[in-house]
Amino acid sequence: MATREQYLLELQGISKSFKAVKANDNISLKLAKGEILALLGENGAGKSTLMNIIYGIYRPDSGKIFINGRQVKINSPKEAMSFGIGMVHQHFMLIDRFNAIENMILISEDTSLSVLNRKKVRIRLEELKNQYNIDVDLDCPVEQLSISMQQKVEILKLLYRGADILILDEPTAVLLPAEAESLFRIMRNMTSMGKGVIFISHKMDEVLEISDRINVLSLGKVTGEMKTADADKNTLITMMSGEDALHVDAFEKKAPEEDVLMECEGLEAYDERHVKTLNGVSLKVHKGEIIGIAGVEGNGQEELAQILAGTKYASGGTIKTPNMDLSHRSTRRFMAEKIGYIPSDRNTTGTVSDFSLLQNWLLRKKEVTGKDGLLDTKRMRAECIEGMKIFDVRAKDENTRSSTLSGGNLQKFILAREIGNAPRILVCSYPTRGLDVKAARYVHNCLIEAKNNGTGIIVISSDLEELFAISDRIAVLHRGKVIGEKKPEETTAKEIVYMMMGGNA
Amino acid sequence: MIENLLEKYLNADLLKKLGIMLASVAAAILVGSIFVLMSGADPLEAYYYMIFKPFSSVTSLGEVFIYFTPLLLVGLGVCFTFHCKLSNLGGEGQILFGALGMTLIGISPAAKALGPFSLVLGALAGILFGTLYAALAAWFRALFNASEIVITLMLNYIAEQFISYIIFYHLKTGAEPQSARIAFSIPKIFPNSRINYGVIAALILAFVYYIVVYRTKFGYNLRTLGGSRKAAKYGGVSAKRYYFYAMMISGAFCGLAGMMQVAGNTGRLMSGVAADFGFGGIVVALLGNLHPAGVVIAAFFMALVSAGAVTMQVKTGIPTSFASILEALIVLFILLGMALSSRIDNRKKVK
Repeated sequence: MATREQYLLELQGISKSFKAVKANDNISLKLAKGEILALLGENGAGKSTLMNIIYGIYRPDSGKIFINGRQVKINSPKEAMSFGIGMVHQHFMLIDRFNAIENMILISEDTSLSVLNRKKVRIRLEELKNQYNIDVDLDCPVEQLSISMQQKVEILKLLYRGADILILDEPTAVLLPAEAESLFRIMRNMTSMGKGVIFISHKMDEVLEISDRINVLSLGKVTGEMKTADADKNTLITMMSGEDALHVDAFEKKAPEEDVLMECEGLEAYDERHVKTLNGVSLKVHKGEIIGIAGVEGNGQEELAQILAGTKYASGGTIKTPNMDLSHRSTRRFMAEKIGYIPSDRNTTGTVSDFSLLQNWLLRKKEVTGKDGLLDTKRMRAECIEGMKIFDVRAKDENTRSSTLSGGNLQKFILAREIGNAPRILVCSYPTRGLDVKAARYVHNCLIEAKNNGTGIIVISSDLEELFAISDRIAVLHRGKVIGEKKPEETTAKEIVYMMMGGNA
Repeated sequence: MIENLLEKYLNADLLKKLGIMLASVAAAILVGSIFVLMSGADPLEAYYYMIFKPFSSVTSLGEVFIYFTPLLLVGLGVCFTFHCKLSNLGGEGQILFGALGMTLIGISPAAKALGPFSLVLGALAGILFGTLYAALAAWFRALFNASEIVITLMLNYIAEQFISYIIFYHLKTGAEPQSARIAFSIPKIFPNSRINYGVIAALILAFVYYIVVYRTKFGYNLRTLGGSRKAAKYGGVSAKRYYFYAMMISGAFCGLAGMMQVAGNTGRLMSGVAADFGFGGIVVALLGNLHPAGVVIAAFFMALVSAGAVTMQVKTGIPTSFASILEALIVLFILLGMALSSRIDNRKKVK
């Protein structure tokens, strides 16, 4: 047994709750010198919370943190850095217009921008580049570098600051396979210099390839800890899905009908970072059917939702309804075809937060004017009040500003508005994210009711319980492709998770 | 009574906003006194001539309305762009082109025969010219995503030089670089005051503005775009198209203001016909908080200050440009007030 001093970082019994949700529950882990520790877990497993605690952004409710055997309290990222902790976030913290050297100067202690200073930084960076074999252009503005190069600048930044504990938050999510290989080499070089790396990922193959030890998190708890050499996919998946805990609500569901309401083929799309996230997705939506789209976040879900709802153009592929070809048609056309949309972002997409509920009610309504061509406020008000009553939206009245509503109430409001339009198809992106159990159940009931009335529904979610409870079919999205479809009663959570990780069905 | 959508929402914040506006005016007047003292005059006396003297006679009050009409029109115009979070700083250029439109109709041989009808034609020409000039800026924005702030601002200089060229080389009639007098001007309401019927037209347009922005789907879409671009997209509002609309309507109002300047004030096209109303209108819109009633009141206040500044210069020797200082101070304090209040809100949220 190693003594405490041999660990770079040790966590003991860390717990952290947000209101009623226990994000971290009595988590302990150790990171030794020259070791790559993989943290494996699904979205919402508590990985980010834990890392934010280590990085001083959150403070734990209880538990102890040791660095090099000494107990410490980390109150801010600055303090974390002084303890030698560095983190590469999923979204890089670089000034786009600056080159690598200027980005270093920004974070360094001395503030003057003298010529000498630049030279010093350059010499140090060249040293680090050689030492760790990081190949990156120091003089090119960061915005002109590729994503993988920007990531290398981020890593250089941490090394420049003298970090000994490096946390990489899903570093491969934005990389091509070859780029990931080069990142792994850099990680190996770092550990051979005695640094410790925490590698967060939900890609099992990579975790098995690069790490020395694996900690599996599920629902805020460490559900498994093992040496990578002793690990295999099967055990890891069982640990990750925590199948024993899967609680599936039973709903009275009508069987879907034969009529196809929407058919899309070969959809392709790029996200706003110009990374190709959809790679030929084909789907058929039947009348009265709920299709669940499972997948690890960032595998093209957001783009798929937007394309299906008509707020984004696909760069390739077609969308058709029995009436018409909707590819490259306007959002209005999609709305006219009665395609409803519950966006994942309720506050700035689903509603205008400065508007009252009544004003927000008009956002997706087709007929809002009276005979005089002016807004028919009277009718809209009546409709809005009615909708709020049916969907149990708790607000003072319809003149309340929508930003004052809780997530659950706002989601009910958006549901009331969309379902009030009697949609033929309803696209829902993470419809219950951030909602408490009661509100989530309410949303599920609404979706089931709409389905039983013949609406074809697409639910994108990372919550497997949800998908198993309400879907007629679950399609798994991986790297921008649907890699398999299963009926919930004919599969297990384990199998879906396996597919989400890229395993073949 | 007309029910309305925004009113209710505004009510929640109305007091705070009103507070910021009034405090800004008060602070500007206070800080302005330093400038008055620096030029060796008595601030109380200066402000008396500036703000209270204009009310002493119909003639002097009429002068206020000569400023009021274009300020109100430009103010309403830029409100359209502000509603969708766009800025039209090109009021000056659009006014100049509007003025050119009116002048071309007014000095044409047919104008005498047309009589009052030439004003209607002139107004249409002014609106058309202003709209097209603003559309140019909107086009740059939509096509190249160029900053409309820079584009509209720069187009002012082009308009200024172009109008200069026109009056020096094409429309010049006498020794002065100015066009001939237009055949028919907007009639005056009272014989011994310069106030004319243009004021009525501007006030009617303030009401039209209210209807369009707060009571139509068009206005709703415009405000949605201002509230959140993502939500607008979700609601099927094309940002590009609405940026175009807003900019062009803005230009139409400014063009009409230019027409009013020629047909109700100068009677001819000359340099300086825009008289900084393009920028004054922005102050009016901000001070009036984009609300029609607020904009009318703000336009009146700004007109009062501008007209009063002339009297003040005669009586106390403080140059009229003091009015611009006051305008600038008001805008600064409004922006400061808004920033402060949002910071206070944020702090509350954190707690």
